[in-house]
Amino acid sequence: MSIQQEQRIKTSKSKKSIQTATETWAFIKEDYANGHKGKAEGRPIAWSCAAMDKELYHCMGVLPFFPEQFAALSAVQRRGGTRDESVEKEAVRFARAAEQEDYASYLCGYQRVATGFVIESLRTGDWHDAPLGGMPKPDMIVTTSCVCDVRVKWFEDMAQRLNVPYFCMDRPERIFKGILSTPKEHEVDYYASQIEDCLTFIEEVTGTRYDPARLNECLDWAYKTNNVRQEILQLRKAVPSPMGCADGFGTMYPGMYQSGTKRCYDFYAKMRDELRERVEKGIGQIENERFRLLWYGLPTWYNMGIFNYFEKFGGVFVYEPAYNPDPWPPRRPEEPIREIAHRFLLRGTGMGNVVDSILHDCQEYKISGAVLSYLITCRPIVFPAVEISAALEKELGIPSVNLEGDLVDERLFSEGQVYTRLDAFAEQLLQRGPRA
Amino acid sequence: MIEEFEKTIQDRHQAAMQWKEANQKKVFGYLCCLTPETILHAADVLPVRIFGSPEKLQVADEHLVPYGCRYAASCLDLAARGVYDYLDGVVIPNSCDLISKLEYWWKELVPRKGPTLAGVELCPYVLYIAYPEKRTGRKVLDYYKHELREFKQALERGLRREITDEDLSRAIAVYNEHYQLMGQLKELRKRSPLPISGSEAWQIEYASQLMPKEQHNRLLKGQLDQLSQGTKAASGVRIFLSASATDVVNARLYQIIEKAGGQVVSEDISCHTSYYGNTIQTNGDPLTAIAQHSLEIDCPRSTETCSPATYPYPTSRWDRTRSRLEGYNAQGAIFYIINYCECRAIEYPYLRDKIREELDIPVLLLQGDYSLEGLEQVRGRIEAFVEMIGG
Repeated sequence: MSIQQEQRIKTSKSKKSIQTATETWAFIKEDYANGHKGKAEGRPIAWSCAAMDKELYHCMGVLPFFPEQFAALSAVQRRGGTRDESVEKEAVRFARAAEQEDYASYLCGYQRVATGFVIESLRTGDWHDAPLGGMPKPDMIVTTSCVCDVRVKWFEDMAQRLNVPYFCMDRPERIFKGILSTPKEHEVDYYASQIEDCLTFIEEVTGTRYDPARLNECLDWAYKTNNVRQEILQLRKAVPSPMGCADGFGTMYPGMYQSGTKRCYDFYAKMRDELRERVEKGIGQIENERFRLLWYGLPTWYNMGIFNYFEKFGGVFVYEPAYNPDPWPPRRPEEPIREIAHRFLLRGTGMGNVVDSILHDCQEYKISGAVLSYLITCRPIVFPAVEISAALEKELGIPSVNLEGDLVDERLFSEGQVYTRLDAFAEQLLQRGPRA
Repeated sequence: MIEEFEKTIQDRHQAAMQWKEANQKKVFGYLCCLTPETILHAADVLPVRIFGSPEKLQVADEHLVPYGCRYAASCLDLAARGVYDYLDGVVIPNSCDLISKLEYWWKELVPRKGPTLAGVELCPYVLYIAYPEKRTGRKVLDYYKHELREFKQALERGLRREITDEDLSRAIAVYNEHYQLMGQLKELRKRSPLPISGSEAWQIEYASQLMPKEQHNRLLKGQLDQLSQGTKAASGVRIFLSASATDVVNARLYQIIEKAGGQVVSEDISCHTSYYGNTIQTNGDPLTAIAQHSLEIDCPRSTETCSPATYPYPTSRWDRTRSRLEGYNAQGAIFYIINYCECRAIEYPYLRDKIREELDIPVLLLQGDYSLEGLEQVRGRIEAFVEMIGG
């Protein structure tokens, strides 16, 4: 793996299919503005991660920020907000700062960018020289063991650098046949204890007492939101496809980072209504849909235009498994903590679970080809790639193509090679014709 | 005496097969020192550590992407090529992102049907243990004990025998003796002049994961008797070595360091049983004691429960690293991190700064691809580092 130090990559934004997707940016900007205002007013700030149960923050009055999301933001922004392409992206600047401190270049792009931001901010004393004024300096760091080890070590490392309290929610790894299964009681007991301990931890940092009624309020909004998002997923199965993966990734922010709030619910309710109308009227992403694609893995945040690349061939990205929620069991207001544990532990975490899940999705969404985001710095995403590719071909006769790169560090993206490969893949899919 | 350890290392597969034949008992392979070997021992099973080989991958590379630890890939590759066919079972703990995923690939590439009853598999050939990511906290022990109980029950079904508390206590006694003897060896390595070279000490540890513990204990006792007479001395700049799990590659690393004029006096290496600083408690429920002991391993991948007021963030990795340097009068620290060994790679800058700032000890970072050729490329840097310290 070589890092292209000087090359300026030409990347592009995606073209949105749905109106609601254009409103995400305002949502994000509002959160950063609220965070900076809250910090000035002395409200507690947590740095946390995508797989965390966000309702805990909202019920405790904590303003959460997410280094992963900040890294994605840095992947599309240049210093000072300039559009001058001779200025490198902020993600590259921060990643380089981390590498100069001996963080290996094969480490997760999110990790290198966020750690680089910490290193630079500590070095200069300026915490605002970053997209949207940067993440406010945290009062606590909370992570989970979910998905990867990097998140555990990386957040621990940031807590050490910043000298702030750290908590890790340990989620039991669950491996079984299939995709979802009811967790065992000792697994629920353990994860519920982690949630309780996390709440105690937040109480100690903030001085705010945990109130189950307040958590139930947040969970009510989260469940209502989840129901709406399930409707959206059903609507997305329509032919022609009413919205694509650019919009899917582009609208994941409220659900992933602000679950448990009314504004999050309102966002998806509006999106559901828009999609329903598009489906009823038969409005697709493009006029003549010839083949439907699945995007496996996380996006190349610095080049979201890639999601429109196949449109010239009549191809559309229909579905992306990442960030989309599972259906949850019914609410249990009398035991909100165990309820969170139950819902969170439903999905299997093994390689087999991932492969089974992708096979299922491809059938549900009438997929004829898959692009596997071959993230060379994201082990949990890249490890199953070969098995997924083989299983798709063997079980469903679906071809796939690998797309090498990093989540946020565009130096690892070779545009020419990628597009040549995608052109050949499009030809292959057109020759095969639509999936029966 | 060292020769016997060396012979076991060189003929490890043959040695395990001979033991199996001679004793008519089962041999299980395991990955990573987080595996509770004592439970296997209690079931009259010989646990042997699965190691890799720096040879080119022949089968696994069709399934694994190149962006992962080559050591773990190599373990799988050897199994897929039939090298580990003599194993009656394989134990894979959730010890890092890649090792935990080997559970899937092992089943795919080394398919074996375990014993069945009415069509239901009683005990899978590959046994997975969901080791918690956190070592400490209110209910960690309860959870892990439950996982170990399920592991024990699967073994009992597969082996058609009960593993009683007495069996577990008997195994604990053998392993506790091992930990005590290894502790004595570590104490000897604090001495100056050194009574044993780093590579010889490494061979003793390496072999302990491949031979029956009773045999290893017996040999080690003899070795310690000889060493305590102080007739032998190994000279060189005293080095602390931190490395990812490696085997013959690591052996070569020790040799390169010694040839450069250094001696490894202490280490932090993932496959070392010397991770076990303490013995297993012998009062109370043995399974609880085994679980508790396993949770004491300061694996780079693990984390801890913290308290905002008294223990805001984990420091145990630094605390242990510090004791491995200070107690042994190390003059330099070498970190050899295999590419894509992410947990070690992330903690490195913090540990490096602490070592330099608090102990004023120079640090050398080496990164490698689990190949002997790769080590040759860093030989010059090791020589320069040792020379710089030794003057």
